[in-house]
Amino acid sequence: MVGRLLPLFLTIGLSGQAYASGQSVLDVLMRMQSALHDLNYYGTLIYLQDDTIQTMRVIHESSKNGEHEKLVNLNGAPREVIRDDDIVTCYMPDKKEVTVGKRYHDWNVLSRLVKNDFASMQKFYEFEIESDDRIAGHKSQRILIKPRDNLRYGYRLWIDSANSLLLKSDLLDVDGRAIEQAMFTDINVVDQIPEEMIKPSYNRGGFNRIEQRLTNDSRTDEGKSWRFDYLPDGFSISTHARKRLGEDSQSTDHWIATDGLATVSIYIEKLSGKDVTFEGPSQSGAMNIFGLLIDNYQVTVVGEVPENTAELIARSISKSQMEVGND
Amino acid sequence: MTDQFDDHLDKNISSLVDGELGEAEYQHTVSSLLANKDKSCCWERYHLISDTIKRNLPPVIDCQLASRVMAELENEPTVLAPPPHKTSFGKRMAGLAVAASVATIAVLGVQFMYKEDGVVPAQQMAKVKVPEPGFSVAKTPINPSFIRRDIQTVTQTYEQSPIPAQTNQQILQQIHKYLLDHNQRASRGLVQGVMPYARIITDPETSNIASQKQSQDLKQIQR
Repeated sequence: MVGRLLPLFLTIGLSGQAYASGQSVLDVLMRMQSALHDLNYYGTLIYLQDDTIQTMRVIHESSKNGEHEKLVNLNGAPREVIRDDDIVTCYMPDKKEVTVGKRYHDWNVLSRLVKNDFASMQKFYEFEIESDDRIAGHKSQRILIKPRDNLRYGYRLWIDSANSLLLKSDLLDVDGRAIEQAMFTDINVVDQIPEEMIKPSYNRGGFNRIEQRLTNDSRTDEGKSWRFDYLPDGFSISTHARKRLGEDSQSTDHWIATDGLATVSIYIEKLSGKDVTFEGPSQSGAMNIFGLLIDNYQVTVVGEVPENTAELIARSISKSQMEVGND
Repeated sequence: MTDQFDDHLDKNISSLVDGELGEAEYQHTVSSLLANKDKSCCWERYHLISDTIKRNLPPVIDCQLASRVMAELENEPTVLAPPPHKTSFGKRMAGLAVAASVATIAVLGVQFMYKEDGVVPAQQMAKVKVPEPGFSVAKTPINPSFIRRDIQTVTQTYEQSPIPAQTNQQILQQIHKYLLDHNQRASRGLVQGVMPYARIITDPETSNIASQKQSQDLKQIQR
């Protein structure tokens, strides 16, 4: 039998997963997820997108005070992103601006993986363990996440064999080409991160603060008058919130559609007459955007998906026949 | 080529535009089209007719566009092939759309378009492709059972008529507001790691949004 002749690490399971030395892809990904959240580390990251190359300092801390992360660019006008658990703050010191946003809820991927989401993701992605590689001087396992159709992007991950940290990741287009890459050139795992290293470099005093916040708009029923009947296979709506994207913006309904790996944001904003409107495809690096006008609303779909997927999602949206509230 | 052959080829080109050719004839017609510069004009005409009937015409039509595309293609080593029936990851699916008509061009794999006249559009410098403001697209909802997964979606792009600079900038601002929000909120830890935050930092518009807000004297929260 051919199966008996194959070395253990090439055995393919019924589900199409490749196994390595008794480990499953799921095991490797779960360990990676834990490491990203639980370890204290710092390093230098190179980020590549189109013809842009940027170097950043990355610091991550997990302590009894929660999880903290800091990214600082090392080229060009200084930018800094600070994450404190679910609150993400972006500093632009040259413009004296700071933007604050809150993730809707903690994306606890471990629980998602355990809750059979991994099995359902396999309907749309093929997970394979590739040959080992060496990144930033560390031996790493390579995992390829290959989409089964051209509606989503793929990923290639390099995971440290010793501590399971994500050392390198590529976002791959439908042809397998890397359209976005992030790679550590050096990385250090430590017991503790000094406070000096992870606190913001800037004092917010004197900065204009732009806060994207959820609204308690009384017309929350408006969110119920939209339907997503024809989302592409695998995508489902996971979150909905209503908010303002800035002090001068209208209230915007924001949905997140996901297939388990890719996330797509859908913004629906009622037009007030003097708003700028746009329709059609747009692109920023790996992100595709699609604008559409439906009745008196601007619909914008944004996500790290191919252009056709952003368009399909936008076109799957319709207004319910029975409208709640007034227009 | 004989007249009879020409007529037959013209008919096939017309059927190709309408997506009515069988597999064997499809292959043959594509090869003939690529080999015959005269017939590519025929291809353009049929698409123009088809688009006129479907009212898909852009504001401005550049009839030299296809010739320039073909000139670039001759310098490109890419092998063109019709889309395979089964999606094969890693294989380029350039397909027929790259041997394009004036008004119908596949978006993926045609980035050389920007090199044509040597002028970098303002939106490229800002790293966002700006959509045509207010142009109308077909609004029929798409039933997923009709989506063919082995074919790239063909998206229409047009030579854009000049968009007033202020509108262009406002559209960019709006789009980047959404991008920033998406990268801040919707990022997942599973495979992306710090990628969404790296995007925020690298996005050049992050600084442009700030300068626009200052110059337009918008109300902001002061802390």
